[in-house]
Amino acid sequence: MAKPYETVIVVDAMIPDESITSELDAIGKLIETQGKMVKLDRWGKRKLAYPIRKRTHGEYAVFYYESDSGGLSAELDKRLRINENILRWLTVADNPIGVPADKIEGELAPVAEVAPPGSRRGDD
Amino acid sequence: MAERREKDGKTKRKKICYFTENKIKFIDYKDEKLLRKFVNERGKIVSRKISGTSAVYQRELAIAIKRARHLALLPFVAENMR
Repeated sequence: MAKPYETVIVVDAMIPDESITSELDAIGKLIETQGKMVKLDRWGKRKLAYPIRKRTHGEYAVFYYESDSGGLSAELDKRLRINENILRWLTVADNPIGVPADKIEGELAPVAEVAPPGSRRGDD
Repeated sequence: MAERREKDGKTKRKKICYFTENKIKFIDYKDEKLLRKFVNERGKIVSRKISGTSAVYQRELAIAIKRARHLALLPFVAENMR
């Protein structure tokens, strides 16, 4: 059974949109050579938490894919490193395609502030 | 379990673990909104003593936060996080 991978890419937002898309397509094709694309999730342009290479904004994209060959991520690494338009990337294997907490219905208990006395005890 | 009386008379409430409480099975490093809850204004990871998170989740949380920092979703150090 092919192993699930996900790769997050941060593309320099200063370059024109077409080249951003072409960069992402190129990466998609590269993944297809040794694996199978499952989903491409584009977050669009976001402000970076800290400047990378003097850039303050980046275009985020998440590639969800499956692959049997172990070498795919190494190949990806090599290619991405050369490409200066890609500011950052991170490949994670076997990460269940996470459902972000905010997509989970229902109210989330607040982080443990000092709750008023008599509030429900945690069962530990 | 009754509230424990601290020496200085302040009652200490048992902290509940956010993740076991909400039955969250998986901490996603991409989920910045969730991770922000466990990082203080300086951008540092909140310790278990304060957040009451259980050990298993704290370990996953730390890894997720570090990955998020790598991807500039979270800052390494922040003057004005809020």
